[in-house]
Amino acid sequence: MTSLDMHGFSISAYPADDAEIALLKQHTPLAAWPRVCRLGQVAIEALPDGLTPAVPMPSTHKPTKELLTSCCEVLIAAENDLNALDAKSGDGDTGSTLAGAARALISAVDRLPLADHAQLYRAIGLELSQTMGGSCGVLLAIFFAAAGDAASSGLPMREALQAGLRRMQEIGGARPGDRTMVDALAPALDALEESLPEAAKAARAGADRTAHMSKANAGRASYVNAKHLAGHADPGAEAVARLFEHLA
Amino acid sequence: MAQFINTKESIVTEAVDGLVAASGGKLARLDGYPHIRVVVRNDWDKSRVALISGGGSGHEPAHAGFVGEGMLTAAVCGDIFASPTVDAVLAGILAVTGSSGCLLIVKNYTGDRLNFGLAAERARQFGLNVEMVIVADDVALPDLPQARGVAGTLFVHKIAGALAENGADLAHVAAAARKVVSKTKSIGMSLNTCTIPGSPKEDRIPPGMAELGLASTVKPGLNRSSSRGRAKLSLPWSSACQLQWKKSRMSLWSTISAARRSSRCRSSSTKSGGQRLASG
Repeated sequence: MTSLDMHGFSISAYPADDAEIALLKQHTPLAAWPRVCRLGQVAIEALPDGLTPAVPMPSTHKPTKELLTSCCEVLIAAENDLNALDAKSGDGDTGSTLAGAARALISAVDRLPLADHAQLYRAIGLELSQTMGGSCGVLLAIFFAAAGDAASSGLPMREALQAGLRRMQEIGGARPGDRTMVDALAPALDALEESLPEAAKAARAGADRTAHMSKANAGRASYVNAKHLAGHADPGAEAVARLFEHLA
Repeated sequence: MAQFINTKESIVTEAVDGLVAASGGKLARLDGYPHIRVVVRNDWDKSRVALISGGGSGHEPAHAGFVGEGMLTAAVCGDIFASPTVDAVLAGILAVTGSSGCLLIVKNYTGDRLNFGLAAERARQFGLNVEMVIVADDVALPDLPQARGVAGTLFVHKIAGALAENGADLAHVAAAARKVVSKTKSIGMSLNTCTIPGSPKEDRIPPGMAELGLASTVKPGLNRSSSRGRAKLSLPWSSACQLQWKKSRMSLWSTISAARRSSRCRSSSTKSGGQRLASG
């Protein structure tokens, strides 16, 4: 029984005897009658297995560890610059988000399977998804997970990373020209076929191009007015450029 | 526009027609628009006791939604929150009542008592056997001299309806209905008032507050009796609950405890809003 759009409720109680309960339960085809049900305990079922992914076995490999650590340090050092860039078009926290993830990765490095690169991509993805907030964390987790899958199936590093990029774009929806990290990452991975310095140049060019893209089609900057974006690179793309420049 | 309606004048007839059209032929309505809006079972041969209820519209599915096998034989639909006329109720009675007689299930509002009561008298003059039971189950406002009939009516519809469907005679059905009525208690609260189609919404209840006792909309001129019917609003939700609940819950609780003692308690909760104090 309702009362137009009033937000209310009522409770009715009646001490029915057995005969009356039978009458209450007697069949009626009317949909409006809510029928009789006996309230029971809340049946609770355990969560299924597989929610927490298997943690890969750590392994050591000095060069990889140094490479990873130095990349993280690049991101940590870029924190303020990236925050400043992000402040122009967003909430000013890209630098801190990436730096925080980098710090977490550094402290976790000895638990990573450094010797097995396919597993390493996956492990980095897992680590990032747990320590990095926002869509960025999820996107990078997707990137690394897909790269790890591709590497496991035998693809060499560049192709594996490109596979990661493709999956990230598929799920995230960003394309080159949308003013995101993809604008630096895609050309960098393409140019990696030549050499690492070429990749770094391509990443830098891609990041600088984002400064002239006035319409962001994905991410937080897509909510921002064009005039605020002009002249400033996308912080995600800038981070990619710095990383490649460091690696070169 | 505040509601998705065509016109407020046609809202009840359109709702009735919609219900009947979608009933798969199980329902029919009497040819008495615009004032006589009665929904009847289309499979009725007048051989058993007829059950008739109704009242103001706006409380769907009550009561037309309960017309059918195992529940009501006819429902008389008034204007929004207004009692149906004597003629409408009489039309309903005459349409479905045979030699087994009928039971009127009437909610305790002045208008409903008067209109159903007079219609019953007129029907008796035709030689029909008419019994009437008044549902007054609301315990939220114990200081009110007349408790209102609210969602507990559904228990009456179902228990009496099942008995009548099974072929019980009028005396038996009426007695069973009276028993249910005597021991049913209901209590309700609401966070806001309702919007009568065509009228602005009354913002009587401040945010964070609730009104105990199924809020009624106030008609000018009924202020005195309505303000007696309103719970104290000076307390936030939980405190208002405690203040009036203490008084009211004694009768609701005693019902539940008595039932538990005889281990036969069944309670049902229905989402329900307020009812209008209908005038004659």
